[in-house]
Amino acid sequence: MKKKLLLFLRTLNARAYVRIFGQMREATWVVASVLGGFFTMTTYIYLYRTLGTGSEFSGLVVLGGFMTPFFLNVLWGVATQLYWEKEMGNLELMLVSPAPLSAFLVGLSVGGAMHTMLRSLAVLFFGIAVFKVQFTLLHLPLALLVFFVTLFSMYGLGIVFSSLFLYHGRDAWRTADLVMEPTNVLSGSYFPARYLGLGLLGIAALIPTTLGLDALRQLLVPSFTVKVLDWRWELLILIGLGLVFAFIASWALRSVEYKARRDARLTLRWQ
Amino acid sequence: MRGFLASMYIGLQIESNWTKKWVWLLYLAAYPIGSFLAVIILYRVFGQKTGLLPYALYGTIFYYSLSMVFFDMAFSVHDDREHYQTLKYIFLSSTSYRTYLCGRAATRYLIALAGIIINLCWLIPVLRLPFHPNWGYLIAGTILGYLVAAGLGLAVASVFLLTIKLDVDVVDALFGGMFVLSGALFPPTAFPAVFAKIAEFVPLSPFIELMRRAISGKILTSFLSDMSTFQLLGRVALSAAVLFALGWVLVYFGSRQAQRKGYIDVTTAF
Amino acid sequence: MHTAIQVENLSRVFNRRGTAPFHALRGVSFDVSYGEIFGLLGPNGAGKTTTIKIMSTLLLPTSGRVTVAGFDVEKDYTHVRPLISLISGGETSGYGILTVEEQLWMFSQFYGMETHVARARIEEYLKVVSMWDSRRQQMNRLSTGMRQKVNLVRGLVTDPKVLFLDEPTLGVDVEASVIIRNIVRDWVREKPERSVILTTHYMAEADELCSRVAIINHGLILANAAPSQLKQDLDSRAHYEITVDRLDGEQLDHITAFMGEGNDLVLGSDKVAKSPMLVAHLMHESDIARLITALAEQGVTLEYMRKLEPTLEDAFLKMVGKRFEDEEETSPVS
Ligand SMILES: Nc1ncnc2c1ncn2[C@@H]1O[C@H](COP(=O)(O)OP(=O)(O)OP(=O)(O)O)[C@@H](O)[C@H]1O
Ligand SMILES: [Mg+2]
Repeated sequence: MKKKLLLFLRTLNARAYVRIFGQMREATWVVASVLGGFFTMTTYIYLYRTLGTGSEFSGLVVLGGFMTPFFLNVLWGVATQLYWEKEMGNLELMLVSPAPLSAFLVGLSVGGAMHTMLRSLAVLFFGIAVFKVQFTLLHLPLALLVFFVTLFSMYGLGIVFSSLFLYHGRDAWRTADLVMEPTNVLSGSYFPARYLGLGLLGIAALIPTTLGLDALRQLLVPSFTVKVLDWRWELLILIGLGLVFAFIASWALRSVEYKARRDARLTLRWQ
Repeated sequence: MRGFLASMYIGLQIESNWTKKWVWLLYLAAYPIGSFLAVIILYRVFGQKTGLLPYALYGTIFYYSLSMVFFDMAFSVHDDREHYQTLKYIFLSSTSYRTYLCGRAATRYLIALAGIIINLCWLIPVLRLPFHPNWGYLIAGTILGYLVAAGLGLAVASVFLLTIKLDVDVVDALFGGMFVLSGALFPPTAFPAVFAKIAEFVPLSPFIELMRRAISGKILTSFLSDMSTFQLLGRVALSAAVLFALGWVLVYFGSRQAQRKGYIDVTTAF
Repeated sequence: MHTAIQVENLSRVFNRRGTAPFHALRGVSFDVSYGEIFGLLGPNGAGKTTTIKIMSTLLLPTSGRVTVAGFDVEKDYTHVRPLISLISGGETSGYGILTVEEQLWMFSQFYGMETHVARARIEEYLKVVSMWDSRRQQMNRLSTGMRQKVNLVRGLVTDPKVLFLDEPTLGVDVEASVIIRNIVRDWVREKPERSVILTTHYMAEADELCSRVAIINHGLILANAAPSQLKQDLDSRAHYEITVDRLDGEQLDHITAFMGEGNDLVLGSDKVAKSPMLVAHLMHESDIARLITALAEQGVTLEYMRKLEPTLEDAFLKMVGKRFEDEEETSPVS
């Protein structure tokens, strides 16, 4: 048991290390992240000024801009990764090793989240410094808790997708590309999710950022009133979602590995 | 020309051969929706009073058409090098690399245009968008737009040929900046005066404004309103000529340099 | 002690879209003992890689049973994986932007190794393959041979019991191949509970390394024996090449008659010395003494003589070739 745990942690650590330091090697990354964050923020702020939504909206939107990079990282950095590993011929070696696939993916998620953090922090920084968006820090610890639970849930979902991607290859890739932006819109990065209406909310709530953002807005923006549910409920639901995703993910990874071994698709490249 | 057509064909294969024909057609129609969904919701729900929905919607749609071209060019360098590992064979073939890039991107452009036309068919009546097309301007703009985008795409591709690792963040930052400044989403007159002025000179701005006027038959905002449509066309033609020539030359040097540095077949994976 | 690997009646069918199911393996059986380097030889598409993939838990058998170190690869694969390493020729695995050291460390972590243990082994093995100086180089800057040495180190660092080598010297130059072969040989000898499964297209490599080889074609095992045995089975006669100062047809007839039934003599000429050269295929090795006597009686002087050893390649070609002929006879042309 202890040995298994150690193996898991070591694999996680190594994969996260590669993700973080592999990318940091290029200095452009920092510049690009910061600039990217700046442009995102500019787009948001001036868009909402044009829309005439009033200044309290800006705070909401900064949070949306803060979460979006994580959303993208989950989709493009975690969900697609097993597919890429296969294409590069690494998947074979990952499977031959005793480490479970989940350890790779969790490592990838941790690395990806840390890597994305800079971009997200840049968004936050510009929001606060340049555009004078105001937050209350009264509930900061709670907000952090909500944030990490949201990440946990999000990356759990990403790992579920990674098995789908691995097995369905390019089809899944295309599908993700197709639904990426609409999903991002639905999850409330551009406006409070309440405006979606109940039907759409039901679907959108399956994406952890939807409720996560809503809870964060409640905790950090005092004037925010168009909430979906009380943040406590949202936190509970997020924890629930996270656990469900984690469960599905571990099952899906095993089943996908089995199917792939049976149908010999793990090693087929360029499909 | 032959190489160009062949590259267009390869582009079509890459874009479409992953699924059945009808799924692909559906995909082609559904794909652009992601680009304007947020715009519709935002301007319908929150910005109704502004009356800017047509401005922003037409703007994003035409921005989208060009973005398909330069994204495709930028990413295909890495896709061909890392993923399919065919870049070296393209270099060896008798078609020049820039022709190949242009051919592939042309297919991408046509596909994007097809998707846009399908969507406009329902967007215009449903959202009651102004629609008084000037076909001459539309067609001229469409063709010149391709050249503008291809010029930008080639320039970026030439840089990518010389960077080993694809940095999505860089692409994001670059095109993200261009997107804000091009005035696709909201009139840059919202910016502080300096940036509003800069926005006028972002190469995509006149193109997008030209297309807006060409399709709606109106001048929708004060952005670039001091120019007549014909003057806009002139600006677009000028930037098309300059950018395309620039991109064409840059890619030539980019490929030469990449060959010298041995970057044609490196792979990175991270 | 149980055998390292047992393969019993293994078959594997691939279902390919739009074509009939393809039988890549059709009832393959063999055993590999600890301490052994076992070779799998066969033409392209014979089923070698498929067999290796099944043994290394990457692919499930359609039927049959495979155990590695006593564990079933189908059911107990989690027990198998810590005990094996897989190295394929021409593989470009790993992450190009990592350095050699980082890449090896990363893979060692996938086996749960402690970092200091891993580092020590990485250093040891990198030095053995003389790649220690390149430890800070990025993987994508390495040549094929260098990369393959790193891959070998990757496989060894985790101290496996069974090492699967699928064409390990593919695209590797002579010197590096020698290094790789020597390491593999020494590695097996180092501890008694180690073994290697090797596929290769270089017969000399198999001959040099393997204690036993199986020749496989169209998913069937045609032979399974020590290389020396295979060579012997090829032809039990002894072969000699004798260069002489002179020899005419009449003399040859005399000698042939003297040697008797079953011994064939063929007269040609030495390409270098331009002297007559006699190739003798003798029933018994000892008949060479009689042949020399006979030549001496004819007044022929021997300039040069050597024994011709059959190579594994001869054995291989004969077997695989024979198999081809069989098929042509039996299978109707469709
Ligand atoms: N995933 C797969 N799907 C369908 N057919 C496959 C698959 N993998 C292998 N095959 C087929 O099985 C046969 C055996 O392949 P295998 O890779 O085992 O050959 P090999 O002996 O390793 O050949 P080589 O010397 O060329 O490496 C080949 O005909 C191959 O086309
Ligand atoms: Mg093979």
